[in-house]
Amino acid sequence: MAGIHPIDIAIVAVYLAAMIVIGLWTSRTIKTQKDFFVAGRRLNKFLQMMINFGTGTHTDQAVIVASKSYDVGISGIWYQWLWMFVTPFYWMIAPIIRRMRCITCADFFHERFSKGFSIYYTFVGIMILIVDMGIMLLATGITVEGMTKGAIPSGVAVLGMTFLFVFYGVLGGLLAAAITDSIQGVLTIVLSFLLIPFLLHAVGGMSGLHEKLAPEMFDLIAAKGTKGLTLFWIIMVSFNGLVGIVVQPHTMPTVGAGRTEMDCRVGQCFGNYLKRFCTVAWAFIGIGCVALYSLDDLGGDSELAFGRAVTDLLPVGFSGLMLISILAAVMSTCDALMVSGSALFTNHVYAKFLKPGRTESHYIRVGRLVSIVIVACGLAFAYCIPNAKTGLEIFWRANAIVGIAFWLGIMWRRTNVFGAWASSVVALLVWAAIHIRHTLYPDLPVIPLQWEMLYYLSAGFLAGIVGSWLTRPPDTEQTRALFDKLATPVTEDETD
Amino acid sequence: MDNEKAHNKQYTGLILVDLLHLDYRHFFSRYKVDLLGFTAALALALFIVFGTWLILQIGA
Repeated sequence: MAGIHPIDIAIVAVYLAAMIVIGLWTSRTIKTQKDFFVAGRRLNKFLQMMINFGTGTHTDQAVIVASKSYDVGISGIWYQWLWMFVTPFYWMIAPIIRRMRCITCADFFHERFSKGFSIYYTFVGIMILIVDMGIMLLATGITVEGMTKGAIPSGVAVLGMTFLFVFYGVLGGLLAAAITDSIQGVLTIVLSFLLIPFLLHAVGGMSGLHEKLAPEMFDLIAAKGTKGLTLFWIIMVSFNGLVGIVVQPHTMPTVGAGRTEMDCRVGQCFGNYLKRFCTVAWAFIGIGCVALYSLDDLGGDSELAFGRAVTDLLPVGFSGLMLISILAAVMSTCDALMVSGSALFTNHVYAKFLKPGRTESHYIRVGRLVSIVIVACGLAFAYCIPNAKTGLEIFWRANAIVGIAFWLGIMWRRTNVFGAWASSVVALLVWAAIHIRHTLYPDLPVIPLQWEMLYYLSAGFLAGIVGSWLTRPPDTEQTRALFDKLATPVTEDETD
Repeated sequence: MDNEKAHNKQYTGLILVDLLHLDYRHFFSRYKVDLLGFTAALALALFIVFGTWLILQIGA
Protein backbone atom coordinates (compact mmCIF):
# COMPACT_ATOMS: atom_id res chain seq x y z
CA MET A 1 0.00 0.00 0.00
CA ALA A 2 1.47 3.34 -1.08
CA GLY A 3 2.67 5.49 1.80
CA ILE A 4 2.82 2.67 4.38
CA HIS A 5 5.59 0.11 4.81
CA PRO A 6 4.52 -3.56 5.29
CA ILE A 7 6.10 -3.52 8.78
CA ASP A 8 3.83 -0.60 9.70
CA ILE A 9 0.80 -2.48 8.34
CA ALA A 10 1.72 -5.56 10.41
CA ILE A 11 2.06 -3.47 13.58
CA VAL A 12 -1.37 -1.91 13.01
CA ALA A 13 -2.94 -5.35 12.30
CA VAL A 14 -1.57 -6.87 15.53
CA TYR A 15 -2.83 -3.93 17.54
CA LEU A 16 -6.33 -4.09 16.03
CA ALA A 17 -6.57 -7.83 16.73
CA ALA A 18 -5.56 -7.24 20.37
CA MET A 19 -8.37 -4.69 20.80
CA ILE A 20 -10.97 -7.19 19.54
CA VAL A 21 -9.71 -9.86 21.96
CA ILE A 22 -9.97 -7.41 24.88
CA GLY A 23 -13.58 -6.57 23.94
CA LEU A 24 -14.52 -10.25 23.84
CA TRP A 25 -12.74 -11.01 27.09
CA THR A 26 -14.29 -8.16 29.10
CA SER A 27 -17.80 -8.85 27.75
CA ARG A 28 -17.89 -11.97 29.97
CA THR A 29 -17.75 -9.80 33.10
CA ILE A 30 -20.76 -7.60 32.21
CA LYS A 31 -23.81 -8.59 34.27
CA THR A 32 -25.35 -5.35 35.54
CA GLN A 33 -25.80 -1.78 34.31
CA LYS A 34 -23.10 -0.66 36.77
CA ASP A 35 -20.70 -3.17 35.24
CA PHE A 36 -21.39 -1.74 31.79
CA PHE A 37 -21.60 1.97 32.52
CA VAL A 38 -19.19 2.53 35.45
CA ALA A 39 -17.14 -0.69 35.31
CA GLY A 40 -18.77 -1.90 38.54
CA ARG A 41 -16.97 0.99 40.31
CA ARG A 42 -13.91 -1.21 40.69
CA LEU A 43 -11.17 0.69 38.81
CA ASN A 44 -7.96 1.16 40.75
CA LYS A 45 -5.72 4.25 40.62
CA PHE A 46 -3.80 3.14 37.54
CA LEU A 47 -6.89 2.24 35.47
CA GLN A 48 -8.59 5.42 36.69
CA MET A 49 -5.63 7.50 35.54
CA MET A 50 -5.54 5.77 32.20
CA ILE A 51 -9.26 6.05 31.49
CA ASN A 52 -9.19 9.73 32.43
CA PHE A 53 -6.14 10.27 30.27
CA GLY A 54 -7.47 8.17 27.39
CA THR A 55 -10.95 9.69 27.45
CA GLY A 56 -9.59 13.21 27.47
CA THR A 57 -6.91 12.75 24.84
CA HIS A 58 -7.47 12.46 21.13
CA THR A 59 -5.93 13.22 17.79
CA ASP A 60 -7.80 16.39 16.99
CA GLN A 61 -6.21 17.99 20.07
CA ALA A 62 -2.70 17.17 18.86
CA VAL A 63 -3.64 18.46 15.41
CA ILE A 64 -5.20 21.68 16.76
CA VAL A 65 -2.39 22.47 19.24
CA ALA A 66 0.29 21.83 16.61
CA SER A 67 -1.67 23.92 14.11
CA LYS A 68 -2.29 26.80 16.53
CA SER A 69 1.38 26.77 17.60
CA TYR A 70 2.35 26.83 13.94
CA ASP A 71 0.09 29.90 13.46
CA VAL A 72 0.81 31.97 16.58
CA GLY A 73 3.83 30.44 18.31
CA ILE A 74 4.17 28.36 21.47
CA SER A 75 1.28 30.23 23.13
CA GLY A 76 -0.95 28.03 20.94
CA ILE A 77 -0.34 25.43 23.65
CA TRP A 78 -3.10 27.10 25.67
CA TYR A 79 -5.69 25.63 23.30
CA GLN A 80 -5.22 22.52 25.46
CA TRP A 81 -3.43 23.96 28.46
CA LEU A 82 -6.57 25.95 29.16
CA TRP A 83 -7.21 22.97 31.45
CA MET A 84 -3.81 23.31 33.18
CA PHE A 85 -5.04 25.40 36.10
CA VAL A 86 -8.41 23.67 36.08
CA THR A 87 -6.70 20.32 36.71
CA PRO A 88 -5.90 20.95 40.42
CA PHE A 89 -9.63 21.45 40.95
CA TYR A 90 -10.17 17.89 39.68
CA TRP A 91 -8.67 16.76 42.98
CA MET A 92 -11.63 18.37 44.77
CA ILE A 93 -14.28 17.58 42.15
CA ALA A 94 -13.62 13.82 41.90
CA PRO A 95 -14.83 12.87 45.42
CA ILE A 96 -17.93 15.05 44.96
CA ILE A 97 -18.80 13.06 41.86
CA ARG A 98 -18.08 9.74 43.57
CA ARG A 99 -20.12 10.63 46.65
CA MET A 100 -23.12 11.50 44.50
CA ARG A 101 -23.32 7.73 43.81
CA CYS A 102 -24.92 8.52 40.46
CA ILE A 103 -24.25 6.81 37.15
CA THR A 104 -24.73 9.97 35.07
CA CYS A 105 -24.95 13.70 35.63
CA ALA A 106 -28.66 13.50 34.77
CA ASP A 107 -29.15 11.42 37.94
CA PHE A 108 -27.69 14.29 39.93
CA PHE A 109 -29.89 16.89 38.21
CA HIS A 110 -32.94 14.71 38.89
CA GLU A 111 -32.11 14.38 42.59
CA ARG A 112 -31.14 18.02 43.03
CA PHE A 113 -33.66 19.81 40.82
CA SER A 114 -36.32 17.95 38.83
CA LYS A 115 -37.09 15.27 36.31
CA GLY A 116 -37.61 17.95 33.64
CA PHE A 117 -34.14 19.43 34.12
CA SER A 118 -32.55 15.97 34.00
CA ILE A 119 -34.30 15.22 30.70
CA TYR A 120 -33.14 18.58 29.34
CA TYR A 121 -29.59 17.68 30.35
CA THR A 122 -29.94 14.19 28.83
CA PHE A 123 -30.71 15.54 25.39
CA VAL A 124 -28.13 18.36 25.58
CA GLY A 125 -25.57 15.83 26.83
CA ILE A 126 -26.22 13.38 24.01
CA MET A 127 -25.94 16.19 21.47
CA ILE A 128 -22.64 17.30 23.01
CA LEU A 129 -21.33 13.73 22.73
CA ILE A 130 -22.41 13.43 19.13
CA VAL A 131 -20.72 16.74 18.22
CA ASP A 132 -17.57 15.74 20.11
CA MET A 133 -17.42 12.35 18.47
CA GLY A 134 -18.00 13.83 15.02
CA ILE A 135 -15.14 16.34 15.43
CA MET A 136 -12.75 13.64 16.59
CA LEU A 137 -13.59 11.15 13.89
CA LEU A 138 -13.29 13.74 11.15
CA ALA A 139 -9.97 15.18 12.38
CA THR A 140 -8.50 11.72 12.79
CA GLY A 141 -9.69 10.54 9.40
CA ILE A 142 -8.05 13.54 7.75
CA THR A 143 -4.80 12.98 9.69
CA VAL A 144 -4.67 9.31 8.71
CA GLU A 145 -5.28 10.22 5.08
CA GLY A 146 -2.45 12.77 5.26
CA MET A 147 -0.08 10.37 6.99
CA THR A 148 -0.67 7.58 4.50
CA LYS A 149 -0.45 10.05 1.60
CA GLY A 150 -3.99 9.17 0.55
CA ALA A 151 -3.50 5.37 0.71
CA ILE A 152 -6.20 5.21 3.39
CA PRO A 153 -8.93 7.73 2.48
CA SER A 154 -10.47 9.70 5.33
CA GLY A 155 -13.87 8.00 4.95
CA VAL A 156 -12.36 4.50 5.14
CA ALA A 157 -10.28 5.42 8.20
CA VAL A 158 -13.35 6.81 9.97
CA LEU A 159 -15.44 3.71 9.23
CA GLY A 160 -12.64 1.34 10.27
CA MET A 161 -12.05 3.12 13.57
CA THR A 162 -15.79 3.25 14.24
CA PHE A 163 -16.27 -0.46 13.63
CA LEU A 164 -13.48 -1.32 16.05
CA PHE A 165 -14.39 0.88 18.99
CA VAL A 166 -18.07 0.02 18.65
CA PHE A 167 -17.12 -3.66 18.68
CA TYR A 168 -15.09 -3.69 21.87
CA GLY A 169 -17.04 -0.88 23.56
CA VAL A 170 -20.47 -2.42 22.98
CA LEU A 171 -19.27 -5.80 24.20
CA GLY A 172 -17.18 -4.75 27.16
CA GLY A 173 -18.65 -1.38 28.25
CA LEU A 174 -16.50 0.91 30.36
CA LEU A 175 -14.22 -1.89 31.63
CA ALA A 176 -13.12 -2.65 28.05
CA ALA A 177 -12.60 1.07 27.54
CA ALA A 178 -10.46 1.27 30.71
CA ILE A 179 -8.21 -1.64 29.73
CA THR A 180 -7.73 -0.47 26.15
CA ASP A 181 -7.13 3.06 27.44
CA SER A 182 -4.25 1.75 29.54
CA ILE A 183 -2.52 0.37 26.46
CA GLN A 184 -3.42 3.33 24.27
CA GLY A 185 -2.53 5.87 26.93
CA VAL A 186 1.03 4.61 27.21
CA LEU A 187 1.36 4.56 23.42
CA THR A 188 0.08 8.13 23.15
CA ILE A 189 2.54 9.44 25.74
CA VAL A 190 5.55 7.67 24.25
CA LEU A 191 4.79 8.55 20.67
CA SER A 192 3.94 12.18 21.35
CA PHE A 193 7.52 12.65 22.50
CA LEU A 194 9.08 10.26 19.99
CA LEU A 195 8.84 12.79 17.20
CA ILE A 196 10.69 15.53 19.11
CA PRO A 197 14.30 14.24 18.68
CA PHE A 198 13.75 13.69 14.96
CA LEU A 199 12.24 17.15 14.66
CA LEU A 200 15.07 18.83 16.56
CA HIS A 201 17.62 16.96 14.46
CA ALA A 202 15.93 18.24 11.30
CA VAL A 203 15.92 21.90 12.41
CA GLY A 204 19.44 21.92 13.92
CA GLY A 205 18.53 21.57 17.60
CA MET A 206 17.04 24.21 19.88
CA SER A 207 19.61 26.79 18.79
CA GLY A 208 18.68 26.14 15.15
CA LEU A 209 15.02 26.59 16.05
CA HIS A 210 15.76 29.94 17.74
CA GLU A 211 17.73 31.12 14.69
CA LYS A 212 14.92 30.25 12.29
CA LEU A 213 11.95 31.65 14.25
CA ALA A 214 11.04 35.13 15.51
CA PRO A 215 11.60 35.56 19.30
CA GLU A 216 7.87 36.13 19.99
CA MET A 217 7.15 32.60 18.72
CA PHE A 218 8.70 31.40 22.02
CA ASP A 219 6.48 33.54 24.30
CA LEU A 220 4.32 31.22 26.41
CA ILE A 221 1.88 34.09 26.99
CA ALA A 222 1.48 36.48 24.09
CA ALA A 223 1.61 40.24 24.61
CA LYS A 224 -1.63 42.16 24.01
CA GLY A 225 -1.98 43.21 20.40
CA THR A 226 -0.02 40.27 19.03
CA LYS A 227 -1.65 37.32 17.32
CA GLY A 228 -0.93 34.93 20.23
CA LEU A 229 -3.22 33.96 23.13
CA THR A 230 -3.27 36.60 25.89
CA LEU A 231 -3.51 36.18 29.66
CA PHE A 232 -7.17 37.28 29.69
CA TRP A 233 -8.00 34.69 27.02
CA ILE A 234 -6.27 32.01 29.09
CA ILE A 235 -8.06 33.00 32.33
CA MET A 236 -11.53 33.17 30.77
CA VAL A 237 -11.26 29.98 28.76
CA SER A 238 -9.84 28.16 31.82
CA PHE A 239 -12.71 29.37 34.01
CA ASN A 240 -15.20 28.38 31.33
CA GLY A 241 -13.51 24.95 31.25
CA LEU A 242 -13.88 24.55 35.01
CA VAL A 243 -17.59 25.38 34.82
CA GLY A 244 -18.16 22.98 31.94
CA ILE A 245 -15.98 19.97 32.83
CA VAL A 246 -18.37 18.63 35.47
CA VAL A 247 -21.24 18.19 33.05
CA GLN A 248 -19.33 16.69 30.16
CA PRO A 249 -21.36 13.50 29.80
CA HIS A 250 -18.37 11.19 30.09
CA THR A 251 -17.06 12.87 33.27
CA MET A 252 -19.38 11.25 35.80
CA PRO A 253 -19.15 7.65 34.50
CA THR A 254 -15.37 7.78 34.11
CA VAL A 255 -14.55 9.66 37.32
CA GLY A 256 -17.18 7.76 39.31
CA ALA A 257 -15.83 4.38 38.22
CA GLY A 258 -13.09 4.48 40.87
CA ARG A 259 -13.19 2.01 43.74
CA THR A 260 -12.45 4.63 46.41
CA GLU A 261 -12.52 8.42 46.61
CA MET A 262 -8.73 8.51 46.54
CA ASP A 263 -8.69 6.37 43.37
CA CYS A 264 -11.08 8.88 41.79
CA ARG A 265 -9.01 11.88 42.93
CA VAL A 266 -5.69 10.44 41.73
CA GLY A 267 -7.22 9.15 38.51
CA GLN A 268 -8.94 12.33 37.42
CA CYS A 269 -6.23 14.73 38.55
CA PHE A 270 -3.05 12.95 37.55
CA GLY A 271 -4.52 11.14 34.55
CA ASN A 272 -5.17 14.57 33.11
CA TYR A 273 -1.67 15.79 34.01
CA LEU A 274 -0.31 13.10 31.69
CA LYS A 275 -2.15 14.88 28.94
CA ARG A 276 -0.64 18.25 29.90
CA PHE A 277 2.79 16.68 29.37
CA CYS A 278 1.82 15.40 25.93
CA THR A 279 0.55 18.86 25.02
CA VAL A 280 4.10 20.21 25.41
CA ALA A 281 5.24 17.79 22.71
CA TRP A 282 2.40 18.76 20.36
CA ALA A 283 3.19 22.48 20.69
CA PHE A 284 6.89 21.85 20.03
CA ILE A 285 5.94 19.93 16.90
CA GLY A 286 3.89 22.97 15.82
CA ILE A 287 6.70 25.51 16.16
CA GLY A 288 9.22 23.02 14.75
CA CYS A 289 7.07 22.75 11.64
CA VAL A 290 7.33 26.53 11.14
CA ALA A 291 11.07 26.02 10.63
CA LEU A 292 10.51 23.11 8.26
CA TYR A 293 7.49 24.02 6.17
CA SER A 294 6.00 27.17 4.71
CA LEU A 295 2.21 27.48 4.73
CA ASP A 296 2.31 26.80 0.98
CA ASP A 297 4.11 23.52 1.66
CA LEU A 298 1.11 22.56 3.79
CA GLY A 299 -1.36 23.51 1.08
CA GLY A 300 -2.42 26.60 3.05
CA ASP A 301 -3.78 24.52 5.96
CA SER A 302 -1.71 24.50 9.15
CA GLU A 303 -3.83 21.62 10.53
CA LEU A 304 -1.82 19.35 8.21
CA ALA A 305 1.46 20.22 10.00
CA PHE A 306 1.23 17.39 12.54
CA GLY A 307 0.53 14.61 10.02
CA ARG A 308 3.16 15.97 7.63
CA ALA A 309 5.87 15.96 10.30
CA VAL A 310 4.98 12.39 11.28
CA THR A 311 5.23 11.16 7.71
CA ASP A 312 8.44 13.00 6.87
CA LEU A 313 10.44 12.59 10.07
CA LEU A 314 9.68 9.20 11.61
CA PRO A 315 11.48 6.09 10.27
CA VAL A 316 9.75 2.88 9.11
CA GLY A 317 8.06 1.02 11.94
CA PHE A 318 7.68 4.14 14.03
CA SER A 319 5.15 5.49 11.53
CA GLY A 320 3.05 2.38 12.13
CA LEU A 321 3.30 2.93 15.86
CA MET A 322 2.32 6.56 15.44
CA LEU A 323 -0.63 5.51 13.29
CA ILE A 324 -1.70 3.15 16.08
CA SER A 325 -1.29 5.91 18.61
CA ILE A 326 -3.49 8.22 16.58
CA LEU A 327 -6.16 5.56 16.04
CA ALA A 328 -5.88 4.51 19.67
CA ALA A 329 -6.31 7.98 21.05
CA VAL A 330 -9.51 8.67 19.19
CA MET A 331 -10.98 5.22 19.68
CA SER A 332 -10.33 5.25 23.41
CA THR A 333 -12.23 8.52 23.68
CA CYS A 334 -15.05 7.52 21.37
CA ASP A 335 -15.75 4.25 23.15
CA ALA A 336 -16.04 6.01 26.52
CA LEU A 337 -18.25 8.73 24.97
CA MET A 338 -20.42 6.08 23.39
CA VAL A 339 -20.92 4.27 26.71
CA SER A 340 -21.64 7.57 28.49
CA GLY A 341 -24.25 8.64 25.91
CA SER A 342 -25.86 5.25 26.08
CA ALA A 343 -26.00 5.46 29.90
CA LEU A 344 -27.72 8.84 29.66
CA PHE A 345 -30.48 7.68 27.34
CA THR A 346 -31.02 4.22 28.84
CA ASN A 347 -31.28 5.43 32.44
CA HIS A 348 -33.09 8.72 32.01
CA VAL A 349 -35.43 8.27 29.12
CA TYR A 350 -35.85 4.56 28.39
CA ALA A 351 -35.84 3.09 31.92
CA LYS A 352 -37.83 5.95 33.44
CA PHE A 353 -40.44 6.70 30.81
CA LEU A 354 -40.50 4.09 28.06
CA LYS A 355 -39.97 0.70 29.74
CA PRO A 356 -39.63 0.94 33.51
CA GLY A 357 -39.19 -2.15 35.69
CA ARG A 358 -37.41 -4.39 33.17
CA THR A 359 -34.47 -6.67 33.96
CA GLU A 360 -30.83 -5.58 34.10
CA SER A 361 -29.98 -7.66 31.05
CA HIS A 362 -32.76 -5.94 29.11
CA TYR A 363 -31.31 -2.50 29.90
CA ILE A 364 -27.80 -3.65 29.01
CA ARG A 365 -29.09 -4.85 25.62
CA VAL A 366 -30.84 -1.51 25.09
CA GLY A 367 -27.67 0.31 26.22
CA ARG A 368 -25.65 -1.55 23.60
CA LEU A 369 -28.19 -0.76 20.89
CA VAL A 370 -28.31 2.93 21.85
CA SER A 371 -24.51 3.01 21.76
CA ILE A 372 -24.64 2.05 18.10
CA VAL A 373 -27.29 4.67 17.29
CA ILE A 374 -25.25 7.41 19.00
CA VAL A 375 -22.15 6.44 17.04
CA ALA A 376 -24.16 6.46 13.81
CA CYS A 377 -25.27 10.04 14.59
CA GLY A 378 -21.67 11.03 15.40
CA LEU A 379 -20.54 9.49 12.14
CA ALA A 380 -23.18 11.42 10.20
CA PHE A 381 -22.18 14.62 11.99
CA ALA A 382 -18.51 14.05 11.11
CA TYR A 383 -19.39 14.61 7.46
CA CYS A 384 -21.37 17.81 8.15
CA ILE A 385 -18.97 20.01 10.21
CA PRO A 386 -16.65 22.58 8.60
CA ASN A 387 -13.51 22.28 10.80
CA ALA A 388 -12.30 20.95 14.13
CA LYS A 389 -11.39 24.28 15.81
CA THR A 390 -14.87 25.78 15.37
CA GLY A 391 -16.43 22.57 16.65
CA LEU A 392 -14.18 22.64 19.73
CA GLU A 393 -15.18 26.20 20.63
CA ILE A 394 -18.88 25.28 20.35
CA PHE A 395 -18.21 22.27 22.58
CA TRP A 396 -16.61 24.50 25.27
CA ARG A 397 -19.59 26.84 25.35
CA ALA A 398 -22.31 24.17 25.37
CA ASN A 399 -20.82 22.43 28.41
CA ALA A 400 -20.44 25.62 30.43
CA ILE A 401 -24.01 26.71 29.77
CA VAL A 402 -25.35 23.59 31.54
CA GLY A 403 -22.45 23.51 34.03
CA ILE A 404 -23.56 26.70 35.81
CA ALA A 405 -26.59 24.86 37.26
CA PHE A 406 -24.34 22.04 38.52
CA TRP A 407 -22.02 24.40 40.40
CA LEU A 408 -24.87 26.45 41.88
CA GLY A 409 -26.56 23.18 42.87
CA ILE A 410 -23.65 21.90 44.95
CA MET A 411 -22.28 25.19 46.25
CA TRP A 412 -25.51 26.82 47.38
CA ARG A 413 -28.37 24.92 49.04
CA ARG A 414 -30.84 27.67 48.22
CA THR A 415 -30.53 27.07 44.47
CA ASN A 416 -33.84 25.76 43.20
CA VAL A 417 -35.12 24.34 39.94
CA PHE A 418 -36.20 27.78 38.71
CA GLY A 419 -32.67 29.08 39.29
CA ALA A 420 -31.23 26.10 37.42
CA TRP A 421 -33.44 26.75 34.40
CA ALA A 422 -32.80 30.52 34.59
CA SER A 423 -29.01 30.05 34.64
CA SER A 424 -28.98 27.80 31.62
CA VAL A 425 -31.58 29.64 29.55
CA VAL A 426 -30.13 33.13 30.20
CA ALA A 427 -26.57 31.98 29.39
CA LEU A 428 -27.86 30.36 26.21
CA LEU A 429 -29.75 33.53 25.23
CA VAL A 430 -26.66 35.70 25.76
CA TRP A 431 -24.58 33.33 23.64
CA ALA A 432 -27.27 33.28 20.93
CA ALA A 433 -27.63 37.10 21.02
CA ILE A 434 -23.89 37.56 20.43
CA HIS A 435 -23.97 35.25 17.44
CA ILE A 436 -27.13 36.79 16.01
CA ARG A 437 -25.41 40.19 16.34
CA HIS A 438 -22.42 38.83 14.39
CA THR A 439 -24.72 37.50 11.69
CA LEU A 440 -27.00 40.53 11.37
CA TYR A 441 -24.28 43.17 11.70
CA PRO A 442 -21.14 41.73 10.12
CA ASP A 443 -19.58 45.23 9.95
CA LEU A 444 -19.53 45.61 13.76
CA PRO A 445 -16.37 44.42 15.52
CA VAL A 446 -16.55 40.74 16.48
CA ILE A 447 -16.80 40.06 20.23
CA PRO A 448 -13.76 37.87 21.03
CA LEU A 449 -14.30 34.43 22.52
CA GLN A 450 -12.95 35.43 25.96
CA TRP A 451 -15.36 38.38 26.28
CA GLU A 452 -18.24 36.28 25.02
CA MET A 453 -17.49 33.75 27.78
CA LEU A 454 -17.36 36.50 30.40
CA TYR A 455 -20.78 37.78 29.29
CA TYR A 456 -22.69 34.49 29.19
CA LEU A 457 -21.10 33.06 32.35
CA SER A 458 -21.77 36.23 34.38
CA ALA A 459 -25.33 36.41 33.07
CA GLY A 460 -25.92 32.71 33.77
CA PHE A 461 -24.61 32.76 37.35
CA LEU A 462 -26.47 36.00 38.10
CA ALA A 463 -29.72 34.64 36.67
CA GLY A 464 -29.34 31.43 38.68
CA ILE A 465 -28.77 33.30 41.95
CA VAL A 466 -31.47 35.95 41.44
CA GLY A 467 -33.93 33.39 40.06
CA SER A 468 -33.49 31.14 43.10
CA TRP A 469 -33.69 34.03 45.52
CA LEU A 470 -36.90 35.43 44.13
CA THR A 471 -38.75 32.11 44.05
CA ARG A 472 -39.70 29.45 46.59
CA PRO A 473 -36.80 27.61 48.28
CA PRO A 474 -36.21 24.00 47.16
CA ASP A 475 -37.78 21.09 49.04
CA THR A 476 -35.84 20.82 52.32
CA GLU A 477 -35.95 17.01 52.56
CA GLN A 478 -34.84 16.50 48.97
CA THR A 479 -31.94 18.95 49.35
CA ARG A 480 -30.86 17.53 52.70
CA ALA A 481 -30.84 13.97 51.37
CA LEU A 482 -28.46 14.98 48.60
CA PHE A 483 -26.16 17.05 50.82
CA ASP A 484 -26.07 14.22 53.37
CA LYS A 485 -24.87 11.91 50.60
CA LEU A 486 -22.17 14.45 49.73
CA ALA A 487 -21.12 14.55 53.38
CA THR A 488 -20.83 10.75 53.59
CA PRO A 489 -17.49 9.36 52.43
CA VAL A 490 -17.51 6.34 50.14
CA THR A 491 -16.28 3.19 51.88
CA GLU A 492 -13.90 0.68 50.26
CA ASP A 493 -16.56 -2.01 49.86
CA GLU A 494 -19.27 0.32 48.57
CA THR A 495 -20.30 -0.12 44.94
CA ASP A 496 -23.35 2.20 44.77
CA MET B 1 -28.20 7.65 54.76
CA ASP B 2 -26.83 7.79 58.28
CA ASN B 3 -26.60 11.49 59.14
CA GLU B 4 -24.67 10.97 62.34
CA LYS B 5 -22.06 8.94 60.52
CA ALA B 6 -21.81 11.66 57.90
CA HIS B 7 -21.19 14.43 60.38
CA ASN B 8 -18.71 12.40 62.41
CA LYS B 9 -16.29 12.14 59.53
CA GLN B 10 -14.23 15.14 60.52
CA TYR B 11 -11.38 14.86 58.09
CA THR B 12 -13.23 14.26 54.87
CA GLY B 13 -15.11 17.47 54.25
CA LEU B 14 -15.40 18.69 50.68
CA ILE B 15 -14.51 22.34 50.38
CA LEU B 16 -16.55 23.04 47.25
CA VAL B 17 -19.81 21.70 48.68
CA ASP B 18 -22.28 24.02 50.43
CA LEU B 19 -19.99 27.06 50.50
CA LEU B 20 -22.17 29.08 52.86
CA HIS B 21 -21.88 26.40 55.57
CA LEU B 22 -18.18 25.58 55.57
CA ASP B 23 -16.70 24.42 58.86
CA TYR B 24 -14.40 27.39 59.54
CA ARG B 25 -13.65 26.32 63.13
CA HIS B 26 -11.92 23.12 61.95
CA PHE B 27 -11.08 24.36 58.49
CA PHE B 28 -7.60 22.88 58.03
CA SER B 29 -8.30 19.54 59.70
CA ARG B 30 -11.68 18.99 58.09
CA TYR B 31 -10.59 19.92 54.57
CA LYS B 32 -7.03 18.61 54.90
CA VAL B 33 -7.22 16.13 52.01
CA ASP B 34 -8.75 18.69 49.65
CA LEU B 35 -6.28 21.43 50.62
CA LEU B 36 -3.09 19.36 50.54
CA GLY B 37 -3.95 17.61 47.30
CA PHE B 38 -5.00 20.84 45.61
CA THR B 39 -1.77 22.54 46.66
CA ALA B 40 0.34 19.64 45.39
CA ALA B 41 -1.56 19.55 42.10
CA LEU B 42 -1.24 23.31 41.67
CA ALA B 43 2.50 23.07 42.34
CA LEU B 44 2.72 20.38 39.65
CA ALA B 45 0.89 22.64 37.20
CA LEU B 46 3.30 25.49 37.90
CA PHE B 47 6.24 23.09 37.57
CA ILE B 48 5.07 21.95 34.12
CA VAL B 49 4.58 25.55 32.93
CA PHE B 50 7.91 26.69 34.37
CA GLY B 51 9.70 23.61 33.01
CA THR B 52 8.31 24.25 29.55
CA TRP B 53 9.43 27.89 29.74
CA LEU B 54 12.93 26.75 30.78
CA ILE B 55 13.15 24.30 27.87
CA LEU B 56 12.14 27.10 25.51
CA GLN B 57 15.13 29.15 26.70
CA ILE B 58 17.61 26.46 25.65
CA GLY B 59 19.65 27.69 22.69
CA ALA B 60 18.21 31.22 22.80
